[in-house]
Amino acid sequence: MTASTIRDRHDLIAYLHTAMALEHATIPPYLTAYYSIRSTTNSDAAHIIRVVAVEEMLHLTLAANVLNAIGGEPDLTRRGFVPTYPAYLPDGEDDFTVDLRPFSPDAVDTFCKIERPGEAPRDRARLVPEHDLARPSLVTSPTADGMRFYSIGEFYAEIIEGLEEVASHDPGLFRGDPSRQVGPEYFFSGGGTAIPVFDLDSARRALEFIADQGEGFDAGIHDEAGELAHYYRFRQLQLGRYYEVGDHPDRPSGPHLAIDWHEVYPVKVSARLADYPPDSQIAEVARAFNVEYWSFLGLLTEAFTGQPNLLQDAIWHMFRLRDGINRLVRNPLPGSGGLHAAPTFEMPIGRSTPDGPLVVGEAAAVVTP
Amino acid sequence: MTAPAFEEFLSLSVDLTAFEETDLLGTGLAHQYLAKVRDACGEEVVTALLDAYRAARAEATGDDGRPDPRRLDRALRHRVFSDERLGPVARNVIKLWYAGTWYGLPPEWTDCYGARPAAETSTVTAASYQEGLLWRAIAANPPGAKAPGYGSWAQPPRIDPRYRKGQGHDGTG
Amino acid sequence: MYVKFPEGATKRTNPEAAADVVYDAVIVGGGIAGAIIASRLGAAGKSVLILEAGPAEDLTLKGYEGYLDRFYSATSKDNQSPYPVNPNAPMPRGTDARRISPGTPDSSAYLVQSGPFATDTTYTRVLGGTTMHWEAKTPRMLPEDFRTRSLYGVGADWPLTYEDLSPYYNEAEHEIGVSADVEDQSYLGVEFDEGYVFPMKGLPLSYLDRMVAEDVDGMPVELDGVRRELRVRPYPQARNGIPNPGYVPRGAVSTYQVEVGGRCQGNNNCVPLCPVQAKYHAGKTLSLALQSPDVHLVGQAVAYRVHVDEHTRRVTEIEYRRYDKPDSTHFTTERARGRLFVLAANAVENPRLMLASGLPGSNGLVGRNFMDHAYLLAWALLPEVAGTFRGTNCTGGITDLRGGGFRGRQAAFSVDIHNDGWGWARGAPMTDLADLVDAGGRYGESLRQGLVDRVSRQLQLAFMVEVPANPSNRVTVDPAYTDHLGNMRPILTYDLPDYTMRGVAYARQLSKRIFARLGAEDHTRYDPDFWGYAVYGGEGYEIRGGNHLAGTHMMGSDPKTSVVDANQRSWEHSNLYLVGGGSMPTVSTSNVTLTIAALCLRSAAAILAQLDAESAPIRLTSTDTAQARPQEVVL
Repeated sequence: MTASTIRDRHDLIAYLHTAMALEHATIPPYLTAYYSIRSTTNSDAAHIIRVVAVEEMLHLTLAANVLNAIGGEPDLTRRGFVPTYPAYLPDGEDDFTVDLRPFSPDAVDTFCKIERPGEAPRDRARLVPEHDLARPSLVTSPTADGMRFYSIGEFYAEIIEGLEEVASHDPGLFRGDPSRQVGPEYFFSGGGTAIPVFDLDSARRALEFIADQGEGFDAGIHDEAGELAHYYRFRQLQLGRYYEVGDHPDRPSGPHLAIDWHEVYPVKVSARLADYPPDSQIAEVARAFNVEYWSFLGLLTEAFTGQPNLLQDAIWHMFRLRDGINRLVRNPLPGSGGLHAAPTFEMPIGRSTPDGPLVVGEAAAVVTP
Repeated sequence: MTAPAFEEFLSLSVDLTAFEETDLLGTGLAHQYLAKVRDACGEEVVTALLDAYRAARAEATGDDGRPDPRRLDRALRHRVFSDERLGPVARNVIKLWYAGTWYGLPPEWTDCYGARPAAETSTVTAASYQEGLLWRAIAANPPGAKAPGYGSWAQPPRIDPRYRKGQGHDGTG
Repeated sequence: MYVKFPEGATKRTNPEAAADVVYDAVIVGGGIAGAIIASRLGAAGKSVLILEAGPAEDLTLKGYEGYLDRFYSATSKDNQSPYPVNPNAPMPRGTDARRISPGTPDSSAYLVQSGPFATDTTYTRVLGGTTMHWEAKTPRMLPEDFRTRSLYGVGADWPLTYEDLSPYYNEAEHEIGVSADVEDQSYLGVEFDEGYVFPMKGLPLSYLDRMVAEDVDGMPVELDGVRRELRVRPYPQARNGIPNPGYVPRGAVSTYQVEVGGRCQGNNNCVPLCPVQAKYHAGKTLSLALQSPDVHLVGQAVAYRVHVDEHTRRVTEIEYRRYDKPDSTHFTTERARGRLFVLAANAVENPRLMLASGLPGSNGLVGRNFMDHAYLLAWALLPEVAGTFRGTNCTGGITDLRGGGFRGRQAAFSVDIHNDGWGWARGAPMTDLADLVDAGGRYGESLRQGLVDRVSRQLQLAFMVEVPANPSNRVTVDPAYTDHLGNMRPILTYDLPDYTMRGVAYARQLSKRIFARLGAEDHTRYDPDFWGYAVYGGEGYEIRGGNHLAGTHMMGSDPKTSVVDANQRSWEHSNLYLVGGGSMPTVSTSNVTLTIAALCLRSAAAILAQLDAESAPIRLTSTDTAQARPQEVVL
């Protein structure tokens, strides 16, 4: 194992910003696959993907809680927060990218890779050199240039060790404003509740929860509460059966689940606004969706910076985004040979030069030509 | 079904519903709805409806190539809504988009133009109820689907101000 | 957290093998009453057999979505629309209601109605019972509701007080998961234990409620010399909201892990089916009950006859008909044996079964005193757009006239503000759409404006008026009326007393005052051709049923004037409990389910005590010698 890449609070803040970006980065792929499923079909798959997406939002919230606890400033509108798809994930290999795909075996394969349990082999370091790739990677080390993590689990392990290390010599580490913490009264889903973070112990619990729920870090396929880790939920889609408690990972023994890969809108993979005919009505709808998504990220930023009650509004916003995605994916994308439109999640980042965050009002100006 | 007929059906539907083409396609049901109208009324009636619509558009279109809304309204009333055969069908198309239900045509219509088994009142698919435009028009969700989120009901409805005018009493727009 | 339904639980019990077992308790009905009792007995290690008339399928998310798809596809979206028609366990349906010609019973539907008043009241015969389609409003009864005979000379007194039932109300509110705030629910004498908190915070009032409250709050009403001020108050609701510390909401039921239903999303479809199971249904309690290996369930099992030992008057067995498939009339006759028997099939099916078994009771009260709520609707257009059709079906209402001295003269009521507009009264918004398009010539922009104008301003008030017990309102049976399986069908004889109609007339007057205060256009018009049209004092009203069935095996402290005791135990058959709304001596102005749940929790304790007291092996005398079976194994 290499030496820690986290030396002080500033390093931790950088890591936690990355953690938030990572948790968010999984959401557009899940949403695209979920909403590509035709209404009232593929119930099993739809529920599995939807729940994982909701839980990623919980993880995002937990990462924000930890960042807030140490006095950081969550910001979902900062440059680079939303990746450009397709993007690489750090599983130690460079054999796959994360695309925005319709529900398909390829998409499920990618989801399994995203959530794949990944403790680095003993003879390999947690951090591996980042290949010299043209595409961006979802989880690179924010402090060690050119390095990225073997897996998401390893990434969180690094943060937890870093927190312990920094807390041991910095008694004022948890200096954040407690009123910024998002507790269970603001975020509740069937798959866990928000953990407010005030100290090392609660920070550790929040981060371990993220890692465990994603990959089943060291807990096997079910956790103590009988919850399946995300990786295994997706494995069910590959194996065609639900797991029961006690099952071997390769042999789920629960009820069968039914999948119809054809009851799916054939949305264009990782569509870009440039794929839309410039003056078409559908291009306008796609741009408007991005503006809505951008304002959603702005609302979350406000919720994470002192107004946790706004999370309720953010959920209403999410439901409206759902309706927007549904409308998009049912429209054919003109000139694409029968493919359908899809949200592009192109945020106005990377277009403006200043390093600072964009405010929501500017976003509309940048997105809408 | 022919592609031009579908395009014309969409265009007719835009004028009948005041929802944009992307909204109509966004229901995922436009093809099924055209098929439903054909099954319920027959190919000949659909062709006549689209012919009348095309003629109404042409009649209302000025030198700038765009239909004048007042002239189009009159032309639709004269050529479509007041037509014995086409009027009830056009009204059914509106209700189909708004409710997701095909309503049985009135008996005086079926007496004249024939009753088909598919003409009975029916929902087109389980999804068509959920996609009814009525719910979007009143900024609500179809009961049982497309939930708006916990507590959202305490907020004012998100109804575009232009649809709030005429509050009080009827007045055709 | 989802509720795990044990996979295979509906198939794991072989009815023929079960006939050779003497269970601690046999329960007829897998609705909320049966589920609660089964869960408590199972937790205490008792063996239980539940007989359910509906299809024997495990509760899964997929199965639930089958209900949902049926609802989406149905052209009529009434409260039975999600549930498949099952001729072997038929259900009354609101759309069955017809006007009754004097002297000619309407037998066109399962529930035979001999009138004179027709009702559209319903119940659902599937696993989970009528809680599948209930609205899930859960007000407690007022302390005075337990003593209306003593206080007002009306109805019957309970053998219980509010204080007796209060701890069971607490437990029931936690079992079914109620969202409410104590400060909103403490009124008209309803008190809560010091420090009591509901499992979840109260649901927010709708924008429509708030608009009504702006004008109605503080509105003076003088009745019988007492002045009071009305206010819009939130209703307690058995649907998941924001949990208070320590409570984990129960979400959807399934055999496999699902995560849905943690919180109400405002689907506005509580009746007939919450799409996400944020609303409580008895499947949630039933799933927990079936975790015990000693709780068995046999579905597609329609109770046919209660057999009683002619000497001891104890129930010996329940004979039931188990059909092979919902669409086939082929069945086998089976029997269920136990130490105790619990009829939990609802206030129509319980007396139906007793009467079909020739057990009307020596006082003849089984089936009598049928009660429901009489609903009067009043509808208007508000001066401003209220965004009607959003929220749960009902979030708030006016409850100030639920109690008071006026009840000596006229019925009390509570008032619901309907978030679903004129849907119940006039089929809105589809009827508005049809009218605007067909009669109004609207299309395009003008249609969109018309819809907002016509629908988004709708206000419908529903007055839930109490109906006191009256022995001539009753459920009977007649061999002339049977269903596919040969079960005698229930026959309902029902009329509304003047006491209720005085409340109805007052409600209509009050609605006019409320609309005037709101500046709303009153569009209420009662149709003389309506099946539930009732004339009182020269005015006609449309009266609808509430599906709040009660009274038919009323509890009391005297065996001569009641059917069951305060524990819901039959006075005549010492090992038989008749549970549910049928035990209630008054319906007053509470939706009945919460009180049913509380009564059943109380009975569960009594049943356990009786089982322990009668722990010595019992000898069964066979009533049916032709049906020779191996002798029982004593558990």
